Amino acid sequence: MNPFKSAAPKPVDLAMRLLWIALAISGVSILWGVGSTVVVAMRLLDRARDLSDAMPTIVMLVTTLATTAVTVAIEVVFILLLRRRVAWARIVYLVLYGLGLVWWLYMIVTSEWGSIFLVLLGLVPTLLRGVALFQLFRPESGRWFAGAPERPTATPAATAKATARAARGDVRRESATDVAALTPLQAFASGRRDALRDDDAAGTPRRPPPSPEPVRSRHEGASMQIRCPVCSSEAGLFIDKRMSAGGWVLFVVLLLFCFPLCWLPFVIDACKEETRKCMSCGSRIG
Amino acid sequence: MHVLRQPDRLRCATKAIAAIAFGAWLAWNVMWLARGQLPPSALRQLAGLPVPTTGMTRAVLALGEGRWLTALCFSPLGGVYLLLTAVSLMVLVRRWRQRTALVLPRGLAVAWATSLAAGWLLKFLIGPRYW
Repeated sequence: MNPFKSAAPKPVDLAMRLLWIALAISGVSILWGVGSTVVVAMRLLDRARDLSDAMPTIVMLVTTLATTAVTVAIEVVFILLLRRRVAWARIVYLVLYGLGLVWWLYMIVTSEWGSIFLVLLGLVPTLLRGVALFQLFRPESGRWFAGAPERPTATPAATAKATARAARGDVRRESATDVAALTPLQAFASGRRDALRDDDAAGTPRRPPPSPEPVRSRHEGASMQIRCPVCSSEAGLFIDKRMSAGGWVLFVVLLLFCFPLCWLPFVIDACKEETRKCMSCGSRIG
Repeated sequence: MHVLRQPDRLRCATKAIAAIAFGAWLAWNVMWLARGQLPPSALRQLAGLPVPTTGMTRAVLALGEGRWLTALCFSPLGGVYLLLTAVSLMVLVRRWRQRTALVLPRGLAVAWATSLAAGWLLKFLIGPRYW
């Protein structure tokens, strides 16, 4: 059972339902729009004499389809992030909604009667999303988001996520250096069954995780024992790499002016920063 | 016992700016597509200056018409970018399958930075006719 689902207050549940309904209705209008674009493109392709004549139509068709797919994917990602109590997602979603609203109004003002129906088809999902956002910013919802896994609440899903990330290479563990240090449940949850297999084959009892090594503080320059303020565990910390502020700025610059390469900051080490998280519950520490 | 914790407001702010920029980029593209035109390079449209990837669409169109030299002038290092993209994707897929961090090797990152800088310089050297 999803622990987030059961814990979500009514406004958040309602908002989630409204957002999915809005996405479904938008899907119908998007399919309609894409279908008409494909039909028009096919007619133009029929008239084209050779490939060079058809190339602009093909590029436009591919761009339209790609933009549509990206838009839908982004909305799905944001709904899933909201479901996972990611607090910043509702703020970003609000900003995107505002931009979308401006665009939709612009379309209403400038469109001709032929496409008015298509524009009005966007009215229902726009209203639904507005109501959903209102629900997401109600005080009960705010309290629920404030207790997100990144902040002081340890949930099983957060623990599993932290364990999985610790077992992958994108994090560096400070207190234990190999996967064998995971508990059997953690190793299984993280997909590293090989850590279990070795011990099972040998028929020996599993090794207990090594005791946490002290973490050196950058501020005081002294070794200190860290206890997680959320779960009170002393399992140790792991270093999680994620995009830094500079990386996001580079992403913005590339997105606006050099779009095909905007993915580079996500895969370049220099654009990432390290955060320390609890091995046990995944809460951010320091 | 000491707990280190500091809010990362700057990172959140840049994330929000990135989201706004993404919305602006979407609006820019949709606006041009709604007019039945291909979206032009934003910097060239706003400031009249090219970026390393400016002209790639026109280069592809020129290639489709068989005008190789024109295509090369529009995107002098387009082939290098495609090659680097292919290599980067291969590296990332391999790392993903190995369950290691999805980051490019330092050499590849340097190759990207160098080729982009060289491509930009070449765009200026070739001249505004092919911006």
